[in-house]
Amino acid sequence: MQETLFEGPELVRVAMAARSTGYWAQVWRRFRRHHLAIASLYFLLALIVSVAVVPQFLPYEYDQVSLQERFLPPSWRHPFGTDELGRDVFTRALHGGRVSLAVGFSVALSSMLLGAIAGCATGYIGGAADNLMMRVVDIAQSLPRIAVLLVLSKVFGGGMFNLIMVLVLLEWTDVARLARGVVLGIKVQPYVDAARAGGVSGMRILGRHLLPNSMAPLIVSATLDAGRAIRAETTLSFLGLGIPPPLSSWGNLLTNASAYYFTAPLLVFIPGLFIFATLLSFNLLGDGLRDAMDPRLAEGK
Amino acid sequence: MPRYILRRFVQMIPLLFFLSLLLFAALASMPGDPLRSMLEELPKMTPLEYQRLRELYGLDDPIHVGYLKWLWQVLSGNFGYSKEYHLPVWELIMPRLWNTLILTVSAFAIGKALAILIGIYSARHPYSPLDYSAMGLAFFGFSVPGFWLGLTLIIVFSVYLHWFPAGGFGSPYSDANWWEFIWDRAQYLVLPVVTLAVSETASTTRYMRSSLLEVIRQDYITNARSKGLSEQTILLRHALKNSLIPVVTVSALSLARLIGGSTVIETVFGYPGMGKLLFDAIMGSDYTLAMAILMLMSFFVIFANLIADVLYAWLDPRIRYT
Repeated sequence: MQETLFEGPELVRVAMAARSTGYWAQVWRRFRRHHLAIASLYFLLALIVSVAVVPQFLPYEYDQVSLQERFLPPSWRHPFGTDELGRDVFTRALHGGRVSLAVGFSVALSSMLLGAIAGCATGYIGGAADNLMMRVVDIAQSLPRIAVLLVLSKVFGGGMFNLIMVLVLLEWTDVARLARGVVLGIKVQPYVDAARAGGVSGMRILGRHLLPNSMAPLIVSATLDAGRAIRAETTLSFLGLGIPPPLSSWGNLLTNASAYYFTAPLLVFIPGLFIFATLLSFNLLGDGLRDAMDPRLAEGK
Repeated sequence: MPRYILRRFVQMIPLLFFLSLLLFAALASMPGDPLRSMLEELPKMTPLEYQRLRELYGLDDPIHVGYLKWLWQVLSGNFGYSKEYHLPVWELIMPRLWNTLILTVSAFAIGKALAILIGIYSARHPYSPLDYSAMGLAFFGFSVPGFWLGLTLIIVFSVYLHWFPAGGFGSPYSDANWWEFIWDRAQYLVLPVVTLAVSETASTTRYMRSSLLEVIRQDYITNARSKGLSEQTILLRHALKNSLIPVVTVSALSLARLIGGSTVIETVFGYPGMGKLLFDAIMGSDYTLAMAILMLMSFFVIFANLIADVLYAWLDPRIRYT
C-alpha cells in the first residue's frame, strides 16, 4: 500500500508542520474526529490487552491435547470449539495473537528505528554514503518480496526471532527511503544551517532536529508496516515456513484447518477473522493518522 | 527520452548482478541436502558415488566459486538443470511462466478495470452512500489476507456449492475441442483470479478516486464547464486522461508485485505456475531451479519499475527526463 504514504513535497510539508508548536495537539484534535480510526485504536488496544491477560485465566494450555474432545462445537467450555487434537481453539487463537502481534510490533518498531537512523544519517551526510544507501534501496525494491521471504525463512529457519529479523531485513529500506526524503527537504532549512554554524555536531543535529522532525510520516509508515508484517508472518506460518507448531500463530492455525473444513469450518474462520480484523484496524488507523498529520487537509475542513 | 530509457537499461545490468549475488548467497546457505531426492531414488548409491555426485554438482565448492560457475553458465545461456525434476530449468519454467501470466494478467486486467470504473463513480458522487460503501469495501479488500480469502472461497464455492474446482489447473482429457478446453481452463481460473483481483481492485480504487477528485478541482475543468460542455465530455475528453497518470504508474508497479505475490495464491490453489514451482523448489532445496525463478521474478520487478518511470514521464508532459 505504497499509495497511503506521503510522497515528495507532501512529505516535506508534513515534516515541516511537525516542527510548529502545538502540532501534535492539532493532530490529536483532527485524529479524534476520525471515528473509524478511533474505533480501530480501541479495538487494537483491547486485542493487545486480551491476548496478554486473558490466557492466564483460561483453564487450558495452548498445546493441551485431549483426544476425547476432538472437533467439539462451540460451547461455554470452549467458546470457539476444539481442533483436530482436542485443543481449545479460543486459547490457541489468543496465544496465536500474542505471537502475531508481537511479530507485527517488533518488525514495525525495529525497521522504523533502523530505517530512520540510516535514512536520516545518510541523507544528512550526503555524497557517497547517500549514494550507497540509495543503491541498497534500489536493490531492496527490485526484490520479489514474498518469494525472497520464503527463501530467507527457509535459510534462517522458522521461529519468532528469525522471522522478525528476516522481515526487518526486507522492510527497513522503505523507512530509510522515507526518512531520507524528509531529511533532504529539511536539511536545507535555515535553522539547520544555523545549528551547524553554531558548532553543533552532526550527531546532535541528527538527534535533536532531523529524527524528531521526520516522526510524523514515520509513524504513519510504522502503523502500516505493522499490518504488513502481520500479513507476512501469517502467510509464511500458513505455508509452514514461519512459526513452527505446536506454538500457535494466527497463520499456522490455518495450515491444518483447511484439511478439516467439512467437520469444523470454524477452524478456518476464527483465525482468519482475527487476522482480517487486525489488518483492517491497522489500515484504518494508518489512514486516520495520515489524514490527521497532513496540515493541508486540516485547512480544508 | 530514448536516452533516458537506454540509461535505465544499462543501470539494470549492475542491479541484476548484485541481486544475483545476494540471491545466490541466500540460496547456497539454505539447509537441506539437494541430493536427498536422488538418494531416495537410488538407495544403492555408495558413499563414494554420493561424494562424486556432490563434486559433480559442485555442492562442496565455497560460495564464491559456486557463484562464478553459475554466472559463467548463465552468461553462456544455460540456467542449469533441476535435480528434482531431471530437466533443464528453462524447460520447466517456460510452461509455468505462461500459466502464471494467464493468472496474473487476467487478475490485473479485471482488477484495474473495476477499480477505474468504481473510482470514477466515487469521484463523481463523492460522499454519496455508494461512494462510502465502495471505499469501505476497498478497505476490506486490501485488509483481507490473500491466502485466507483463497481458502474461504474454496470452502464456500467448491466445497459447499460445487460451483468451481477447488484447485489445480485443468481436467485431464478436456482437450476434446478448442471451446471445451477454454471453458474447462476458465473454471479452474475463476477462484484464483478473483482472489488476486480483489486486492488489485481495492488498492487502486482509492487511488483513482482521489486522483480524479484532484483533477476535477483544477481550473481547466471549471473552464471547460463554463464553456458549457456536458459533464460526460468533460470527464472523457479532459479529466480522465490526466487522472489516469498516477493510476497507470502505480499499476505498472503492482503488476510486478502480482507476479511475486502469485506464489502464495498459486500454492493455496495448487495452480501449476511459476510461483508454485518456486515454492516446491525452495521446499525441496532445488537451488538451480529456485535461483532461475527468483532471477526471472527480479527481472520482472526491475522491468516494471522501469516501465512505471517511463510511463510517468511519457504521460505527464510536465516531467522531463534526460
